[in-house]
Parts: sequence; C-alpha cells; structure tokens
Amino acid sequence: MNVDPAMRSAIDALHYEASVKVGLQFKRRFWEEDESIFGGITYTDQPIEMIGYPNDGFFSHKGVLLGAYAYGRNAFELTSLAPAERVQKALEYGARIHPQYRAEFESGVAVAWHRVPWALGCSAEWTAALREQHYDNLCALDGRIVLAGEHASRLSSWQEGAVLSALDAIRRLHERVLANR
Amino acid sequence: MSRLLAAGLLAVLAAALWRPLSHDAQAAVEAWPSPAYPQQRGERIYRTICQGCHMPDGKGATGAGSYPALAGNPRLAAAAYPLVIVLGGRKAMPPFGDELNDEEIAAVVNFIRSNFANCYTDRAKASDVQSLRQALSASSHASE
Repeated sequence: MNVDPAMRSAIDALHYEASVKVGLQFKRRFWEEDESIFGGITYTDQPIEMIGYPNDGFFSHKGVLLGAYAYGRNAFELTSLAPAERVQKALEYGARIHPQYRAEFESGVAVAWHRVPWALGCSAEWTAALREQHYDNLCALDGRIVLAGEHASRLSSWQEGAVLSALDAIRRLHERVLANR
Repeated sequence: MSRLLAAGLLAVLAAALWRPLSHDAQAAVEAWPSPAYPQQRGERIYRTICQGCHMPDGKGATGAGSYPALAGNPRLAAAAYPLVIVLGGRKAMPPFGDELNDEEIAAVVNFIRSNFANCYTDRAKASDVQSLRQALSASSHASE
C-alpha cells in the first residue's frame, strides 16, 4: 500500500492480538437440566478461560456452549493446534467442570483469529505509548486513503469502535470533499 | 468395624478432596507438560506458540497479509535478527519479550535456526538475549 511514511510506520507498529473461540454443540442442555444454569459465564484458570452459556432458548432440544474464549498465551497455544485438536482441548478442560461433556457432545468448531485469512488477528493491541506515537498518523487522511475499523478507534476490539471509526472517517472525507469543491 | 470403615472412608475422602485440587491447580496453569530436557524447550515453544502462524513446517502463510517463511529464510543467518523480532515484535508479529524469558527466547531461536532446512551451528545464549533486551529498552526510552 502506497502511503505516507508516518502512516506506514503506524501500520507496521501495530500488531493484532491472538484470540480463540470454540463452540460446542451438545445433545441436551445439561447445564440447564442438571445444574440450573441459565445463561452467564463460568470463569476458569484453565486454558479455555471461560464457558459461556446461551442466554436464550431455555429448555429447548439442543444447545451450543462457548467452550473456550482465550486471549494471550492461551490463545497462542490453542492457535498452534489444528482446529479439531482445539475442539478436543476445549472438551477435555470443560469436562473437568461439566463431566456431562463426554456423553452429550455432538459437534464443535474452533476459530483462531490469527488464522482467519482476511483478518490474521483478533484486534489491534494498542498501548499508551503506541497511541501517543502513532494513533493520529494511523487515522489521518492520506491522499486517497483513510483507514477505518476498530483499530482506528479508541475502543479497540469492539464493534462500537469500528462503527464510530467508520462514521468519523466518512465525516472527515465529506468535509474534505466539500472544502475542495 | 463400621467405625473403622467410617474412619477409613473419611481418610480416603480427605485424600480424594485434597490431592485432585493441588493436581488440577498445577495442570491448569500448564496446558502442555514441560519437556524433560532443556534442548527440547525450543521445539516445544515453537510447537505451542510460533507454529500457529508460521505453520508446523515453518513455511509461513498468506491471507490479508503474510506470515514469513522461516524455512530457508536467509534473514536467520545472524541470530540477532530473529532474537530482536521475538523480543520486540515487528509488523504483524507480536512481541514476546514479556511472555518468554531470556533462555526460552534463545532456545526457540536456536530451534528455528537449526530446523526447517536451516543449518546454522552457532547458538544464541540467554546472555545475548539479556543484552538485546537492555539495548531495545534503552532505544525505546530514547525515542520517547
């Protein structure tokens, strides 16, 4: 991409965080039927970091749990596994909390953001020092290019940041077009 | 007899309650078992962190951007180059200076420089990583 050196070094300075999510489908909603868990999250110090329970569809036939939501070192380690192995790890660790996992598991899917081809990472990992040095340069209008997304916002990794960034980019573009008319 | 059995059961229960707790707590922070020999450490770090992006065969990958191949990469000729990148990150590559200690960074760099068709025989040492850490931190303070 042909951009100003200041924007180039902002792009080069910013890397993306690792994150992994695993969805696990079960034949029955044992967390509701057996444990009276209706929505919410179980936090754990295991590498899966958490189990998320669906907040709706109570007592319906089947159910899908968020079987892992890892960041940092845990996410790197899960990313380094093949997708089927990530599902297996989520089952192994989750079964320590819910032994019903073994009998009720039906299917699973794992997403590791560093391996999602169009993103190659979960979200921009800003630090205060990086913001100071590069944020304005990353967001600046550069010739015919303006960047928008959560990475070009102060709400990294949130959809709200991406939407605000898009509105901001369009506003500045519009202003420039009107000024040059 | 039944009292003895009850006492025995209590002891078994106590053991069952106490042991798995300490075992699980240890297993919880260590997702994968530690290698028995230090020379396996570099490979283990590669297999549990680096290969997520650089791939199990070290050939890299391409998507919205590219993860460079380590296999046959001439930029690995001097150990300092991969050491600096692992420590401080570069472009899409996150820094691992806070995640890994000096010995671990030397070990993983030694692993990639002697595998994937790379045959460099000189070894990076933990002390090399330590000096680079100091140099990097001095230069980042200078630019602030």
